Amino acid sequence: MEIIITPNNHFDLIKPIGRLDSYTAPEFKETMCQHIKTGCKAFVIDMEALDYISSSGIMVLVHLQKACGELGGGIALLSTPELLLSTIKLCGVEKMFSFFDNFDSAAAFFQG
Amino acid sequence: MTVTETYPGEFSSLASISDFVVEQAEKIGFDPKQIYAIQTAVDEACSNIIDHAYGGENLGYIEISVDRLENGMRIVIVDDGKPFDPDEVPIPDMISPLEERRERGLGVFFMRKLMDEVCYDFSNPNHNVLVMIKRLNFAS
Repeated sequence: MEIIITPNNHFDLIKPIGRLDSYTAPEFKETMCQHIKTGCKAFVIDMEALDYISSSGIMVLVHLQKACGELGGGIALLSTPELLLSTIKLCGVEKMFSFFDNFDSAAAFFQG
Repeated sequence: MTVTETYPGEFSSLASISDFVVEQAEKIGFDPKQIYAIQTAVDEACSNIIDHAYGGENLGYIEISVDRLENGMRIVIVDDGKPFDPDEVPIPDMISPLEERRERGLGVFFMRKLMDEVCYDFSNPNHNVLVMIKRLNFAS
């Protein structure tokens, strides 16, 4: 899995590419947790290039939301493909996240 | 005709397993939403095999067979890990606050929600045999 991280003023833009499954979820979680340790607590995760997400991938997003929330931040999900959104809804965790269709709206979420 | 592939029981096999199942589902004529559901159910089943039946990676194989049915697709997944009965997996807690939930059981929950039939064949004591069926005209 490739993870592109682009720092912004109020948040970091994270773009995971490929599959977020039991194989790649630990790597994604570790990368993000290391990033949180550097002081980042707000993330826009661009979901557009994700082909697939499993329950383990969704649980990583839940973990990150909780971890960032405890620091006063959070994560916003950008351009989530409909099929992936259906899996997130099946998990019953969609209310935990803010979903955005375009970058400007997601950015405004953190810029207040 | 049955098409069968065998993979190492490791998480890096999941992408190849998905490619195989998606290719077969496309040949049978499922729509993209149904194919994604099948892909998810198989991925969760294989993750469970590695996590729970084998208790770790590289401890056995995963054999996947696909049959075209008159109205859909039958997927049979075989492993030789410790016996695993999905009926013994509790329904995941979808009501409690997220911080209080346990993560276990989501895979089986997904399989049951996304496929039309999910059952275990206990006729062979030496293998776990999971049978899942998806029907073409199922409104997913």
